[in-house]
Amino acid sequence: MLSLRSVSKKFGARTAVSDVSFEVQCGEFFGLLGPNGAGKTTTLSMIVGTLLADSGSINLEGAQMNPSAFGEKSKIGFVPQETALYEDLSANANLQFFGSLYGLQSLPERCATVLRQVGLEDRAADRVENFSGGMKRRLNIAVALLHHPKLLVLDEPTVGVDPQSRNQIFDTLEQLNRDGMTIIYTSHYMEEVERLCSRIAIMDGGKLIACGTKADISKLLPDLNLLALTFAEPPPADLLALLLLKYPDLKAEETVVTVQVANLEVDVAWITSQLAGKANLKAIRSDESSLEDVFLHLTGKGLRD
Amino acid sequence: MLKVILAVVRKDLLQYFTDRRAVLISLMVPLGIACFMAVIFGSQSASGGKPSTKITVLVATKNKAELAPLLERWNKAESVTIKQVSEQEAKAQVNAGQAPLAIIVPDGFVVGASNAFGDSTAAKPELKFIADPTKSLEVGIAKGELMGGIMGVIVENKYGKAFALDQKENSPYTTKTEDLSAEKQQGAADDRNATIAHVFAGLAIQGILFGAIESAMLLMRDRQKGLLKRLTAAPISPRWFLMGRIFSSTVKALFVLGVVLMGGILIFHFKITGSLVGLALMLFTSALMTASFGLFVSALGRTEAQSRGLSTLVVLIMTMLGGAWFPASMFPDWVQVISKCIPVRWAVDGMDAMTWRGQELAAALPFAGVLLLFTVGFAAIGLTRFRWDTE
Ligand SMILES: Nc1ncnc2c1ncn2[C@@H]1O[C@H](COP(=O)(O)OP(=O)(O)OP(=O)(O)O)[C@@H](O)[C@H]1O
Ligand SMILES: [Mg+2]
Repeated sequence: MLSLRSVSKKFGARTAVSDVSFEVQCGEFFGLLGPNGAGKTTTLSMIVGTLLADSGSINLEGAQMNPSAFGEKSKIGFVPQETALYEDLSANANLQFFGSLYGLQSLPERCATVLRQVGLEDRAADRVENFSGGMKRRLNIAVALLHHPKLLVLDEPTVGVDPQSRNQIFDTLEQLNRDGMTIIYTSHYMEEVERLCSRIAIMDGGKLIACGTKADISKLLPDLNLLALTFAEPPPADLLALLLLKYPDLKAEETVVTVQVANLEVDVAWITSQLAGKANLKAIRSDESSLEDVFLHLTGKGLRD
Repeated sequence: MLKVILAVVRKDLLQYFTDRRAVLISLMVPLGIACFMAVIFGSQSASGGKPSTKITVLVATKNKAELAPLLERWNKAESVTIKQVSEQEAKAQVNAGQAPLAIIVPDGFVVGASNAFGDSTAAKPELKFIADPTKSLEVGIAKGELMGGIMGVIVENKYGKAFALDQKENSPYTTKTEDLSAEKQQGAADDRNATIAHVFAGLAIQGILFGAIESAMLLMRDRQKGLLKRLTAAPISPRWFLMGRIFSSTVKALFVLGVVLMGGILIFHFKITGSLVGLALMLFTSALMTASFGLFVSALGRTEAQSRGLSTLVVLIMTMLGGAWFPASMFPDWVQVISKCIPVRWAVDGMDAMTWRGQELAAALPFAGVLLLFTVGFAAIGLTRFRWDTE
């Protein structure tokens, strides 16, 4: 449905987006992940046609996307990173105004429908300035739904939203996706993207550093599992020395010892055989690597500092 | 596209009238200043250029008996009250600004002057005036009125009562005082009408210019908040949005102009003597010009904080040089030239032509035409140079 090929954008001397390529399939829930300043907003701006790319091309259903591609623009619903709403007007007046830019028939009914979709139907006549942060965010999404877009593009739609409101927003988006809407979701929250998106692109410093399903991306990590051993009391020094010989990246902290193992079954069996009489093992836990680990591995830094 | 423009106008007006206090302020400021100026300047011209209270003239003499016939005439003077004081006191009071004029009448003045009347060889007595240099207007009026009395007394003294010019039955001609003063009143009323109409038109224009700046600041604030991103993502050229803003600002400006002028008419009863259609045309083109000026400001400015001070200064200079405060006819020639380059001048002059100069519609056309040219210029720059993104 959407494809980016070698898209770049500079602001003066600063390169915001450099040589980014990816594709989004029809009906997909696509995540764009990256820390502050990664170039997510700039990439989205070029996708929705508010910004012209310096080089490369963006295709939406076979047509070139640019600021004057009005036919393409009407297929996209855009939720800006800011709550782009007139605070001194009511929710309904905001919807009416932004809806009028799309030349919609039966606008009042559409306003009522999208308000219901985001659960704000009883606040239609209230001024936006009296809304909570979560309600503003939901209205921000509602505005983008008015014209039945095929592609919904959301730029960090849950900033400053409490967990309950966030779940409400997720439910709405998942429902829309089930009903056939293609969604591009931007965030720097790992958990959000892991929960919602079937495919993920990771950006850092204006570059695309990984793209694919979660399983694809996990493969980028060396095939190692993290094993956490919890003892009843701090393990004796000779045991630690023994383990350190086999696992050089061992970390010991009071009663918890973590090691990286190549083969879970073999290593767990070997470790337990070494313990006999030396220490009392209380728990043993192994974690699947998370996107956070992938990011750390690829860039050498955390997603959020 | 028309639908989009209408939607923008509707939204802007909804926002404007939602903030009732801001609306009230945008009306009360021009109305208040205009009322103040109308009271001050209007009352001066109401008395035909004369001060409204009587002028106190001090008279000092040693020979009171001789002064009696003079005082009798002077006391009849319309705008002067006579106070007899000593010479020293007269000087002191004029010096202190308590009276604009003192007359020192020498001993034997009437007899001496009568002798010298028609006899160039006789010695002329000297009448001494002590005048306050800052009150030349009052001094002139008082001198004018008192001179007639002096001449009357001298002639009467020399040739007898029968020749006294200022007595009606002896005068070689008759006068009709009532007509004269009625005409005077009419002239004064015209002056007053002109002053007040000008003050209200000028301050109404200043009011809508400030309104235009306010709306420019609002637009910059919306841009800062990222609100305009939705507009650039929509499937229309965002210039239609700016066009819509010009029209909504025009409607707001017409509302302010209408209320301020109506306020002036209701409070000060000034009359509109020219073409009403012409006045409507002037109001519309003035409103349109300020609306596109507002867009121009928002296109050139980056942030509200940067632009507010400068654009306020520009509006103040424009209204001052454009003759919105004081009529441009009072300006020296070189300021006149500058003021012709300022749209406010054309708006104010055009309004003056329709409100109190009693001109026909045709006279409004050149003014309206120039205002439209300014509108096109401001709008062209505004529409092409407007930045949609913050950088
Ligand atoms: N209009 C602009 N002018 C100049 N530089 C810009 C502009 N917009 C973005 N940048 C720069 O481009 C880089 C990428 O910014 P962008 O907003 O795309 O990042 P982001 O991933 O959306 O970050 P965030 O999570 O903070 O929203 C940043 O270094 C930013 O300073
Ligand atoms: Mg961003």
